[in-house]
Amino acid sequence: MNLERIAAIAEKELKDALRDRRTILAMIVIPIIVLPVLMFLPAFLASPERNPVRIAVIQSDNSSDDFLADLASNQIDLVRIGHQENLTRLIQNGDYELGMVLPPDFSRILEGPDRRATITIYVDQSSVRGTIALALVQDAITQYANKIVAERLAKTGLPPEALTPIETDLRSVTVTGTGALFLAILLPLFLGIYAVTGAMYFIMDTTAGEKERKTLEALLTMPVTRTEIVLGKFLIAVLIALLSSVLAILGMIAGVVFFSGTIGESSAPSFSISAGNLFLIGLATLVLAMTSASLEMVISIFARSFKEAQNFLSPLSIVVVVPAIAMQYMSEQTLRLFAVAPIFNAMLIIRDALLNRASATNLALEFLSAFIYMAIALAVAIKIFNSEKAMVRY
Amino acid sequence: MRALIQCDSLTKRFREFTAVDQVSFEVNNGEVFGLLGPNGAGKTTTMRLLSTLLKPTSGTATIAGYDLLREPQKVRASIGVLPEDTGLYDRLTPREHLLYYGKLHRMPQDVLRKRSDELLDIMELDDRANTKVGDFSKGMKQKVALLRAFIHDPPVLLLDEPTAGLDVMSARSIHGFVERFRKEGKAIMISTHNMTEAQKLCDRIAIIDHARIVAVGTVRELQEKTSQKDLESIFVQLVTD
Repeated sequence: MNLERIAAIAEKELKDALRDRRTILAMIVIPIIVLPVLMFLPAFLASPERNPVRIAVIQSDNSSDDFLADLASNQIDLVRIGHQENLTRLIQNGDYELGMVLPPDFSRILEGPDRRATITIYVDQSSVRGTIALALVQDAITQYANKIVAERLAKTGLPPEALTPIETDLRSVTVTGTGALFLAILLPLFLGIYAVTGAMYFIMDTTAGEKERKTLEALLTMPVTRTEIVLGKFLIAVLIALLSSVLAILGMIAGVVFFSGTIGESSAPSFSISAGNLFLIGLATLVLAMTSASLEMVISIFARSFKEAQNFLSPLSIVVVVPAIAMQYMSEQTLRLFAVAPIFNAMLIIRDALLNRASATNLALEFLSAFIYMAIALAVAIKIFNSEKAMVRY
Repeated sequence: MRALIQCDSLTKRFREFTAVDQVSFEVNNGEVFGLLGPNGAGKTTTMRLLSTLLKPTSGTATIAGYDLLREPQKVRASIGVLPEDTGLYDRLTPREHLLYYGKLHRMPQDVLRKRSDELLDIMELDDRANTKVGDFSKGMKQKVALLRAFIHDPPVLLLDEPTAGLDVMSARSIHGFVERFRKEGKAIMISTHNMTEAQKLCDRIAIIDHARIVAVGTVRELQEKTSQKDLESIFVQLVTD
């Protein structure tokens, strides 16, 4: 095995890949621009802070002005309209996100210690902005109602505690912060998807594609061993998978920063991670990229054309979602049974590092199994490269 | 002196089908040897066997003294191959192709750069040396693929249908290139079904039909053997006998 030749193959593969618009699209544009925008733009556009919800209000008299003053905020645009005949149509047409009909003598009704006022709400619950408006209005109504309850209680001489005889005292033992669980669900999933899809196009192109275009035939007449060819291509496949995973994370961070304020900054979950765990996540991401690249190479080399490779490999991007979702519902004992399953093992390392649960024994098992799969996959890839039946079309 | 290409009863079977049957011939240095035959006769399979892409079912061959089966890496280092399809990377330039394949032959950097410039100049591709080959015509692609075969200055050249589908000017330019390297003492093997090309370029011709070589010799020897004057008539007589 000659390192110079492996480097020459890797250099050519990288040059070729970087000139291919489709690889650039899969590796850079989709993870760093398209997906963060797709993830955050709907929330950004629907955000009432950026674009207040329009609420049509129908009042019979001025008795509910006090309530409306409480309701008004920078997220709500209240518009008083005359009568309610067209209210349903106005909401369905999208002129207003919600309609509210306030009863006459609203404040007087509430003065009575045992009386209840009814506010009628019209809303289209199939619309995102409608449900946002409803949540805002219901929240304001609850707060106003609490104020009325407190006043009523005060008149009877009872303290507010009379209504809440039991309170809970929650003491979180989470080490890594409340955001850790959210990340433990999301990060293995995203890193898994990018490790599998990031280099998929490149791998199909450099194996089945080269076979189809007959460029591989010219390469096979060169004084390079099949092992050198596989390793040169594998190196760049790993680099591309890794790069697309890292760019995806950067894209998500950029998305959060750029669209912040639309995903509830006031209740932003806390999260902290040690340098050791961060290193583990990096290592597991590399292992994910290496395992998926080697598995994809084997499948793709076996294909006779790019299209066939596409048919073989495309389901993998859906398959990879299964362990990421499944691990959220498994008990710790069941999870350990899957610690040696390919892809799953690296996802577990990421999850455990985020939750600060990594143990030396588990890590050894997970890393060892991942390297065994990779070694087997590479050995099979080299074997296929050595088979004239698989490589040369007669 | 031993011939640069020495084929001994080379045979290739794909299951029941025999693609090359007991083929024996030799090609010496400074000789252009033509493998002439109809489509499906076994020309390309013979070329693929000699370029180590396929392993013979029986028989063997030596190239520049190296055995096809025992020393495939040394054989690959001694041959320059122009396959049936050019097999070029559309997104790389001619110069990048030459530098890449030169590196695979472990040529020293300075020698490689000098050699690529020389070859690009000979083939009059120097002004397009940095254009991606995806934008090239078929003739230009064929020239680049031919240069790739010559980059490491191998003693043996295997050219499969070098001018198939090319216009007259491109074909002439490739013929000139072959002539030039014949004079340098290379053993050049060409597979073709183009009679004019075979007559013009080849010192000796092997006529292959149904996987077997039916005759080998110079055009004069083949004329004497068949009592026919032109190569086309010789060919028709030999393959219909």
